[in-house]
This record gives sequence, structure tokens and C-alpha cells, in this order.
Amino acid sequence: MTPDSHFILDKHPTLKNCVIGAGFSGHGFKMAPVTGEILTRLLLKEEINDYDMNKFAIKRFSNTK
Amino acid sequence: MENVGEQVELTSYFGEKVIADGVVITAGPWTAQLLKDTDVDIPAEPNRVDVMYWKIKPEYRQQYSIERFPSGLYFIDDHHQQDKHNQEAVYWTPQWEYPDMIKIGFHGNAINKSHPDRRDQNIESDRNRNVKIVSEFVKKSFPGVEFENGPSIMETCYYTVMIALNVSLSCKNCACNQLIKPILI
Repeated sequence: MTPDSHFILDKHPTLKNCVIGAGFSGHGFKMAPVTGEILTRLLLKEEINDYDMNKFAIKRFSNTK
Repeated sequence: MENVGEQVELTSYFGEKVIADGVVITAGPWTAQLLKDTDVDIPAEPNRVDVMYWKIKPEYRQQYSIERFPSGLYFIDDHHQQDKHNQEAVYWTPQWEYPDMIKIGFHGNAINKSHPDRRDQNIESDRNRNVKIVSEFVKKSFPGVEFENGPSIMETCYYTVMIALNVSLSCKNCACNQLIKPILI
């Protein structure tokens, strides 16, 4: 088992108006302010250009339908 | 959870229904289980982690205060310097959260897989192992900290660990840096 430290910050692939913040692998606490900001902006459907969101995308997992 | 027009309908375990304009899923160690019900699989694994606080002898308390003592991380085995994410380490913060105690804990690959609904399962054997490792370190490196009877306070914390798909071993590639930089500037 290798922790990869890349957590999930993304919209739910099928549920509308549903966002996910998960898998912080033990270092989520220090990220809480920016996590809250990003989840809020995702839910409000703001376009996020100031952070690279690809690293946190749920679609990087092949078993996601 | 289901779509209802532009809204989301949530049904509780007891059958109650709630309609919401938006939902934020931050269910910690339960997230993978919760998302499975919505046909989404994420490789997130709950792990139980022991958090330990050790008593400081009165004459040493000033030395370990937040004004005088740094936080730190010590890698127990330094043969695999490139592989920091896989290494076992002891970390500490100065005396702060509890009076007259210093937080010294264990961080490593061998943290304990554990279901959050059965968090006490195997807790004794896991704890004994972790306490032994930290206790030896405290004895060797932290004068004036009482190691003989183990930590005075033990707490349980859950890490929801993402299992590596693209293995990232360097902190340069670590996702946290991507986010934290814009804040620091």
C-alpha cells in the first residue's frame, strides 16, 4: 500500500449539484481553508483557473463509471 | 442520493427524505462506502492512527514549550531516502495542546487499516506496536519526557488514504504543494 496523497476535490460524475472532498490521506487539516473555498466554488459552478484541478479529479480513477 | 431536476434528493438510513439545492460530500473515512451507493468507486482506504501525548518532567517543561522547541519529523530508517512517502517516521510538536505534555507520534506505511464503524478492532495489538516504537525513540532522544509507562493520553485519528495509482514519491510532485503555493504568495 502506498499513499499517493492526491485527494479528491471534484463534482460528482452523475449527481448534479453534488461535490466531493475526500481522501486527504492524513494531511487534510492544513488544507481546510483552501479545500472549503474550492468546494464552495465548485458547487456555485464557478470556473476554476487559478488552481490545477486535474490532480484532484475523480475521473483519474479508471473504475469510476 | 438522486437527481430531482436541478436539485438532489437524499434519503437517510431511516427513510427520511431531504431535498437540497447542493450537497457537499465530506464524509471522511466513510466516503468510499457512501459513494459506492452512487456508482462511484474511489480507492480510499480508512486507516486508524494513534495520537500520543507524553508527560514532561517539571524541570524540562520550559525546554519543550512552543517558544523554545521546534516541530519535527525523524525518519527511522534512512536507507531509502528517495522513498519518503513509504518510510516510517516519528513526528512531534512542542507542548501546546495539553498542559505539561508533548505530542510525539508514529507516522508510516504500517498505519492500521480499520473500518470506521469498527474502530476498536485490533486496537490493543496495533497500539502496543506503535507505542513501543515511539517509546524507544522518546527514551533515546527526548530527555525529561516520561517514556517508562507509555503516553499519558492516546487519541484515535482516521486517515483516509488514497491508494496510489500513479505513484508519486517526491514532495515536489505532492498535490498539497499545488494548492498551498497560491496561498503563501
